[in-house]
Amino acid sequence: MAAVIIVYALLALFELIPIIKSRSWRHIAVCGVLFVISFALAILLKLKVRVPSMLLLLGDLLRSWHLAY
Amino acid sequence: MRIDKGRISGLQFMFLIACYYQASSLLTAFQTGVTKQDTWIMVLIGSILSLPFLWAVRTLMVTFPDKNLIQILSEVYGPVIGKILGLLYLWYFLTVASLNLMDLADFTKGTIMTRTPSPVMAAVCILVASIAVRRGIRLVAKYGPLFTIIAAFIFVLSTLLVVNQIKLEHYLPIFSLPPKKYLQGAHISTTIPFGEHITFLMIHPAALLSRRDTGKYLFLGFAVGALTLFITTLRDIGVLGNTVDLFTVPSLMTLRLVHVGPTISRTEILFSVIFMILLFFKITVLFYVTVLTVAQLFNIKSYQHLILTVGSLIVVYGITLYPNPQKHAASAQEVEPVIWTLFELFIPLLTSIVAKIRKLPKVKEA
Repeated sequence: MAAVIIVYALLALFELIPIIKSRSWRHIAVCGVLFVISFALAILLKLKVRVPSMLLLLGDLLRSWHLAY
Repeated sequence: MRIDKGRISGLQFMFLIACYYQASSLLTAFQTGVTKQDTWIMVLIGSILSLPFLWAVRTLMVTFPDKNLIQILSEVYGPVIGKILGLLYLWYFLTVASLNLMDLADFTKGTIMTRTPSPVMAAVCILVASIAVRRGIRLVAKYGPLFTIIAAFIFVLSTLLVVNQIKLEHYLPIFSLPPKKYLQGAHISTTIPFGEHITFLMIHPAALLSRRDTGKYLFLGFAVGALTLFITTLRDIGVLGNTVDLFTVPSLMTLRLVHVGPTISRTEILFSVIFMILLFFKITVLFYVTVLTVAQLFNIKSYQHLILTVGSLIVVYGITLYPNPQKHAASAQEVEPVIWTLFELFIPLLTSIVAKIRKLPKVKEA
């Protein structure tokens, strides 16, 4: 867990802090949202929580509609 | 407005396309698992079926020479539908980048660095690719010609070394499977390796291309890639016969069988190296395109401070996609061709038709 937090802290240091300094709000919002999604996924994976696969879910949906092979 | 001001020549654009397809040509297991010894026919049919869609992509490139895919969608469908389609394409590029990254990580773990976890391999690959992406399309495309030539050399050499093991009876029986399998095989060929030409719509504004050169370089790059895929499939089936569908990377197994005297053996190391080089190139292109799509979609002027965040997302998202390579292969055979049809075949074709009907781009009056 510590390794994940350190990696993301370094990521924030190199990417988020420069754009926060630049006060480009749109850039901060986009980067922030992507960062939060990525960090949350990394934490969930580290905690061995089963994150549902988007492609497997889509596969189940297409199979129920008889659209898959 | 172009976010990355870098420019590439027409020739570099062609080699980028060729190298991109060559990387796909090494992963033929999705197809061999379905159509077995008839896969080479499916590759041929798939490449022919891809031509009208490649023409649609060429039409969009010629009609909108200064606009990338996201800008084209906004112009053709308006800002709202354009943005929705743009978001869908962001998901598409992110997913394809993640899938290729996990392929590379799983391959490296399975063959060379067996004790290194796949996520670590994926993270290291993205970290190196981020250096190229940060420098823009000029650096990404710069190594395309070199990689293509090295790949072609190793590919020809390795094929010559296994010629003596190719048996004509391995191609028989022809057309002995149920018709549905052939439909599925042709669909996989058309979408998974060839349909990814949609990616080049994000890059073409950076290429210095005349109207005539656009089609020429696009089709030449496609021809090199399709020919590589066709010969690779033909060689692997010729050597492995009906066992070809048992392996996740048939080319690796083919080259393991090379044995010319006591000195020339274990040539699969050549394949492993070229596989990693080509797949790394493809991942870099997809990584660049994903970052550019994010920047374009949200009107961000500089994409440099998005690279590592998007890269981290590609890695963690890739880990969540499939629990193992077997699930990935099954999904690539049964589900992915259906999903990718929307992105790679339907939307580009529809967009080129709508642009024609609406007589776009509209010429501004002075």
